Amino acid sequence: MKEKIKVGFYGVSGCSGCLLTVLYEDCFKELVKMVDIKSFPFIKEDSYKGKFDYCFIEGTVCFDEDIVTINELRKRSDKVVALGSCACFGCVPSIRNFHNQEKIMSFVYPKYNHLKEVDPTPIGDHIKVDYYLPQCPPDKKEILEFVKCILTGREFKSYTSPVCFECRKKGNPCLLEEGKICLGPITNGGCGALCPSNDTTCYGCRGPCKDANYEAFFKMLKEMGHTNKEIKDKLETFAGLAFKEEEGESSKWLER
Amino acid sequence: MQKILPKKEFPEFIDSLIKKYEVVAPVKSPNSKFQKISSFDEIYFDSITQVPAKIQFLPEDETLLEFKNKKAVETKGEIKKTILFGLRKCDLNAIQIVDKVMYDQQYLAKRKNTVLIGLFCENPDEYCFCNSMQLQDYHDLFFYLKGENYYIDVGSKIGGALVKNLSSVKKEIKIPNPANFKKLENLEIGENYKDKIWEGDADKCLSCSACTVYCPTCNCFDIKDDLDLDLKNGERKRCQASCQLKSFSRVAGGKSYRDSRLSRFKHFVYHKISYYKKIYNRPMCVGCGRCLRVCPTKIDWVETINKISKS
Repeated sequence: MKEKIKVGFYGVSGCSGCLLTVLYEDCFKELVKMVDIKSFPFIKEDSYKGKFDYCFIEGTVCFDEDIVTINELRKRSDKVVALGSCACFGCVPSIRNFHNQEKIMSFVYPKYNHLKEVDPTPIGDHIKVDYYLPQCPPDKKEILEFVKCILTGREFKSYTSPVCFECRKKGNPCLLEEGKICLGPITNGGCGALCPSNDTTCYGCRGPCKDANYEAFFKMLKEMGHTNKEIKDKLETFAGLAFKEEEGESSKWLER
Repeated sequence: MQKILPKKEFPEFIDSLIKKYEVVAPVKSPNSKFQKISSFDEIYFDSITQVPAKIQFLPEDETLLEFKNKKAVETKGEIKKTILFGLRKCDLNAIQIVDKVMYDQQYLAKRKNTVLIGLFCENPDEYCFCNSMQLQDYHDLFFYLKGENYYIDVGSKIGGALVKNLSSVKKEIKIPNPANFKKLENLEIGENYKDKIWEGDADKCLSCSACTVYCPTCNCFDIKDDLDLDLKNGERKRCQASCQLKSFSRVAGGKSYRDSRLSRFKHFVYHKISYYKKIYNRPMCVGCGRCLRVCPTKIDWVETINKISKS
């Protein structure tokens, strides 16, 4: 039998929710059948020093030691997969970028802070990332689908249609129509419209949809009576950096 | 042929159908859609459903083929005799339009086992413009309430069998068209493809695909293969596609033939009004107004066409 591919699961600054998702029974049981998990420091002490075929990294780069960690993993891995919205877009930790950093640091660590913080950034800003599996936390099915694709030699296609497409197909009532700020029209789908299906607006955790019409979307939200601040706050929550980048130079929405 | 049913016996009639068949009817939950019901009281009568009836025949992620040991086997699911009740005239015409284009075994099997029962549309809203769309009669049974009685128009033998115990109407009445507040004034827009006026609508478009998903006649689909690791077994599934998305016209190599939002938006309108008509001699749109109703930015392409025809 062919040798199983060697994978590792690592995390930098983050809540470890993505790694926890991998550990769910329906995902982990399938995963161990398909790949050889060489290291997973979240659940077992890491003594493996060899190479990986695929290395899954979760979390945002928030401190200088994170940069060292991911650079070392990059050298040891053939392919790097960014697992979850933190690794892909910066997610919640990256909200710090849009505020006064000193103020935040002194609020969180009022007396003593030995951490050497850097601007919270996705891992793709520091190392080459081969694949992205966004969502907060990532979809178990998508992780398995990804592994299946690499094992069978098929191309892994990331979902490129907006959340609205899946949401409408499910027949959900539109939350924008209810006057809420839902980022569905400008966010990549693939989650099965998880939040809107449970009556919660989309926060854009799968990142910006490449074909989104920002101008019309923001105009609509303003006509609905939402203020710039409300819209900004929503955009910054899960993929603020990515939305800002997607909007490009003309961005007037995410600047404070 | 027309049959008559007193209004007060109507719930009883529906309940008797439920006992014998699977009855699917409009339900409010919380968006109104067609769903299997277990009693008359569940039926939602107040408006046309927001979600169209097409999902009864084109369900999402329907298995078309199964791969068993490298061989493809066509899936033959169990299809129960179903009654689709509460279809408005627009819904019925939409089914007629899709019937002309869908040929696969799964679709045909479901259509063959479904009885279409229409209901006169009492509550058109400001988005409805069905009278502009050359609608035809296409039903097994059609219910029209006049005074204290339901007049039932029998459109087929299958429909007739369901109402054979009811008394026939001596003098048949003419079932009117539903009232309309909106009108599409021109169906000949072929010349106006390059008109600048479309840009205004396309600029408002979010490309969210709501119009196509909720359109009762949009039947474009995508095929997904769900394969096992050994690449010998698996399933081939059909899911809805939308021409408003860039991925729709993408071909090998990554080129997308309808790259601009404007061309995608115009394709939707022109397919509904113009392209289908060239082949089947009637517009594809049935004037149900669902696309206008669900559009988050309230794009009104009907008004745009009216403006073109005025200028």
